[in-house]
Amino acid sequence: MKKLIAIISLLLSVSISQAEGINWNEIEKKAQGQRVFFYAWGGSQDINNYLRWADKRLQARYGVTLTHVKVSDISEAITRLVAEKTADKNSNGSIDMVWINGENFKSMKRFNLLSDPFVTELPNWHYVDKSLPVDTDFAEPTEGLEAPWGIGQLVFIFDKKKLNSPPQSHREILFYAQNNPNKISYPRPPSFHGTSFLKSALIELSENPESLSLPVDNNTFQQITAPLWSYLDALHQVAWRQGKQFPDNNAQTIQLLDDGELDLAISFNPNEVYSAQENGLLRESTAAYALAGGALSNIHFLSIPWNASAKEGALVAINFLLSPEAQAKKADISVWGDPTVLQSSAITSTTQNTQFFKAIEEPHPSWQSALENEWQKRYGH
Amino acid sequence: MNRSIQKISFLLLLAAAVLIVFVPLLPGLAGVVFTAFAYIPALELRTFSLTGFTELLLWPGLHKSILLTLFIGLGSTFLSAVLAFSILQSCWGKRYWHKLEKLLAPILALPHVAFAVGFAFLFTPSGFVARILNTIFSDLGITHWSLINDPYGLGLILALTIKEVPFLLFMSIALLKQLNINSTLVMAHSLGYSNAQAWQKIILPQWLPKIRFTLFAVMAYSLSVVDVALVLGPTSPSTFPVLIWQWLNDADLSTLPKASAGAFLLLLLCIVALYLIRFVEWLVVCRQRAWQSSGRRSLPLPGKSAILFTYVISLTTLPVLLLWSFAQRWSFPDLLPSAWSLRFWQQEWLFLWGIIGNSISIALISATFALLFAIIIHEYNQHSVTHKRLPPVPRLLIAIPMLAPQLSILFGIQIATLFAARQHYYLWVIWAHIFFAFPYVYLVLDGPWRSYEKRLDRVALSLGMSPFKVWWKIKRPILLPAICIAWAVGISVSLAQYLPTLMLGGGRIATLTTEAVALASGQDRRISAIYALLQSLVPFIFYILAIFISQKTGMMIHQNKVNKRSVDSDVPISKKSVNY
Amino acid sequence: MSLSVKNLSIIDDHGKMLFSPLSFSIQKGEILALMGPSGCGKSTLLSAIAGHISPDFSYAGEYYLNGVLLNNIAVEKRKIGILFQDDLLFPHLTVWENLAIALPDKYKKEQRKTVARQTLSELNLLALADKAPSQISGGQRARVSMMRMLLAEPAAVLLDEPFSKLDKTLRSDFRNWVFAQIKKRKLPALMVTHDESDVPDPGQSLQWPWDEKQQNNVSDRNIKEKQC
Repeated sequence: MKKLIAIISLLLSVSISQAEGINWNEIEKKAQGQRVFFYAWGGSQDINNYLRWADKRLQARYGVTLTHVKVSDISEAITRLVAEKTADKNSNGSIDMVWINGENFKSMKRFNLLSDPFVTELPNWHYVDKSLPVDTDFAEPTEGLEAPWGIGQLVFIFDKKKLNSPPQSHREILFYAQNNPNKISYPRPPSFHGTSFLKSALIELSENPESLSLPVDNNTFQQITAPLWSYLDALHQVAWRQGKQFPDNNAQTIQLLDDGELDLAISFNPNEVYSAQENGLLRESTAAYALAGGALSNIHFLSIPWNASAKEGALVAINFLLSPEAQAKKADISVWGDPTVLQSSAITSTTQNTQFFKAIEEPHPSWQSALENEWQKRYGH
Repeated sequence: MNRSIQKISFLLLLAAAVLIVFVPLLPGLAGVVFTAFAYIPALELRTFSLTGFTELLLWPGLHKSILLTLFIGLGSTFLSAVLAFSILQSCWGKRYWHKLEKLLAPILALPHVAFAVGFAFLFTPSGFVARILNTIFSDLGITHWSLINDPYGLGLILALTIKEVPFLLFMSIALLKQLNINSTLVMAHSLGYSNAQAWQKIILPQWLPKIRFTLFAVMAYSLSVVDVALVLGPTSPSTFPVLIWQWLNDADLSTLPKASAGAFLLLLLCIVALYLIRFVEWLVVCRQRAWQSSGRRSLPLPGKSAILFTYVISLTTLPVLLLWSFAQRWSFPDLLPSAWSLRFWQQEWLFLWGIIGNSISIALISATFALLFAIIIHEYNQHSVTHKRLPPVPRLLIAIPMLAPQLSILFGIQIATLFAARQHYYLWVIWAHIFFAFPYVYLVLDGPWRSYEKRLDRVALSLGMSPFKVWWKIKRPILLPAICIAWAVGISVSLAQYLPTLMLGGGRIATLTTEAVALASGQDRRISAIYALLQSLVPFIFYILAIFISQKTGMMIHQNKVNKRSVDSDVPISKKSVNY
Repeated sequence: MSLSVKNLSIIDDHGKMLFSPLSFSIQKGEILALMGPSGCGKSTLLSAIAGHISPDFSYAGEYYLNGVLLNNIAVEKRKIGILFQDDLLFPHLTVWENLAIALPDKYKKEQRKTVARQTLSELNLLALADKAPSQISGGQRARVSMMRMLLAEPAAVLLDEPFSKLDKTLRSDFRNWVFAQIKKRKLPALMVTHDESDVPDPGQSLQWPWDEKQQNNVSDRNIKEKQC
């Protein structure tokens, strides 16, 4: 009986979502007056201000209020969704929209915390640059469950007055550290940037990088990652505080760069350096660069939980955030500086004020926790 | 009012208090236990198992992290108890004591996170202290040893100690007044004991059992603190509660049982540590008591430097925060910002009002209810002393929200709220704030309630006043200063709540603290400074207001103090009339 | 008006009876002194009559005021004033407010102040009306405390070692004044004390241990007086 009900409701929801898909006008009409609770990391005032702008536009144009719920880590939202799932709260949920990627997406997908596929129904979908890997998220197929929003690229920030030619590879970073002890570090894994640093180093140092796009195999893991650990062993000896301490996150590396404690800071936003300069966080002489081999790149996404209350509002909001106007504004280095996911032809505004590096794809997501665990075992205590 | 009506309404209020203050414990503790034993239906985990615990025990560095946590918890509790006692010993009854007592309010108002942010601004290798040293000794450069995030947690111990000493002092003041310290001292002096000897040999054994409960709170807080440890604590490994917090927030949801098993273990650790305090107290006061009568000897305790140290560090965090909030560019080793800007304030200004309004209204409502319930349960407990058939509400039960790791309890409470058909976010959040503020309010009222002269009630009753009238006309006004301070403490506890607001508010409710913590994850010092400042300013205003109200309405009592500058100016008001 | 006690006994936690069952009655204007060493249970006995039951003891016996059984009457309705060795003035109220608060509810707001001030002027303490209790001397406080009890218009008075904390010079003056006030108002009064010199009339006291013979003597004499 329960199964029957489940099947019926599944059928119903599919047919409803198809019906919605056909008629975007209907969705906009329903969205009118809805309030969308958007859970997103709140640690950057640039991003917060951008979302305040988006809220104003959405209210004026569609009558949708976008409320940014600032979290210090998006997994706080996922913990809440798990609690709602536990309580069988399958409608009227408290979260309408989330900003996620990678592991978080994988978790949400695995435990059915996402709504039905919606991406191709968005009118602005046709602007999206399909040559970007927008249908996989850390090698996990997105299956239309999340819409691409922007691109993160792993870059380093340095001070031109201190460093004429910054190290161009992970091997050169080690060489630089050996000549300048106590000046190099990376955020402590499992922070997002720290783990990304490990992945980027592994891709460069590994003898067969192709194996990284496959799920981790416990039998070969030690063999594949051996070069990474011997590299880190050497690096930590000459690293900031002898590798016994690490910065907490990328923002701290920027602070430490400005304080003169570190010579390289790390960021996932090639344009963060400009906004940091403008906010007085960094000297004018600082600049961002990617390693010669390219920048580890990943796309970050927007998605809708299965029990969202303002589903239509969330769809309208996501569609707006994918519009050329919103994407151009987002890419503007004086606003946020997050590269667009749209085709360059779609962006007609004069804001070509952005930077984009050669992209290196992320390894399979299973590498993330495998690397974090191994790092923890070796260095974390 | 008719007596039976009074009785019924008291019972109704008592029932409401018990319901609101204790019922959340059930889902809270159930939630911890269920998830710890890996029963989480949402994650398709439908059988009980020990996987959470095995994963926890296999985690590399677990024992190190636990030892570190115990070291920090025990170290800071011990240190703050010693410092608080030595401050009392050297400063009590001195002419400047009144000023010290008044200065406690702004320091108590300073929320832990705001203090931690300010403390970090002072002591990072590029912090204010380093800048001053750099200016004096020119070009020291940046040291490679830091108090912030140091591997042994010394910076965290120091910060927690500085934050807890004023709390212990504050609680001790009420207790010592109850102990009638001045006549004890006069007596001890006449027996040839010096001031320090009298304090250590005669007052310490009386003070320790009375401050026990407060020490429990201090210990439980230092063992389970997440936010301060994130800012100041060690990272290789992190302290145990930080690890649990990270696991709970792990993108990989299968770490949930491990996190809950950790929370469960943390609860056990807390209980063990509390018994340890009890054991030490028993050892010192009861078992090994020979030292008490062994003669006129005392240890030198640095009370005056301790008070100076505590006050100076606590109070310098504020100007440094203020400077940062106006700094456009302030790089090392400049003593002052090289470029100033109003933009960070301007940018936040518009959004601040709503957030401040939210924070204050929630704090006012929850503190008022917490106060009302605390008074009712105090009255009930005193009543149950005179009526043996009624069991008193056990103190341990009252203290659980203060002693158990917040994180552990909240998950269960959150699930319980979701079973309600409609979401009443404000209701849940206010309820949770009442729940977490209640034990602190109760604790603050504890000393005054105990030291209240009960014969005043008897006299008033035999004058023909009804019990309610006796309470309202006699007890309430006499205890009003304590009630006002308890209210302010409740407000500041409510204002500092991060997890309950976020987890039960469903993100609908933004307060200064939720914003401050979210922004702190981005580490822009200017924005952090603004929110940290406001976070301190709001409770500070209420402390000042509480002091003002209690002085205005307690005019007569205050007047007594002013006019009797003799030795007994610190005798509690209720006792004052007793001593001719 | 009379205050009488029938077969009152008090039993402590260990089941020990503090004294053999006690019976006596006190006529109006009479002061009965119960003598006894500290710890013999005399204050507990007063508390029991006043209605302040201590949880450490169990009680048996009956108390009557003017023939009305007191046992089940609420403390504040018993109309029994009590005076302790400490004055117990309310520290947050001024001297005159301490008096005004005791007045029965039949007095109107304006009346209360007048009566309180009038009482003070009878005591020659009017100048202190607006002072806090802690600002006046011990002897003054003791008198205010006594007057406060009387203003509540009690039907009987209990005195719990009321003079033990006063120094010698004050003591006899205050004692005489208290006894005079009680006689003037024709109130039955029960006093506990361990000081022989506090006893107004040796015939009106029960010496420790309060055995039955003594009790009978007191009661007999009471009856005789009644017959006169």
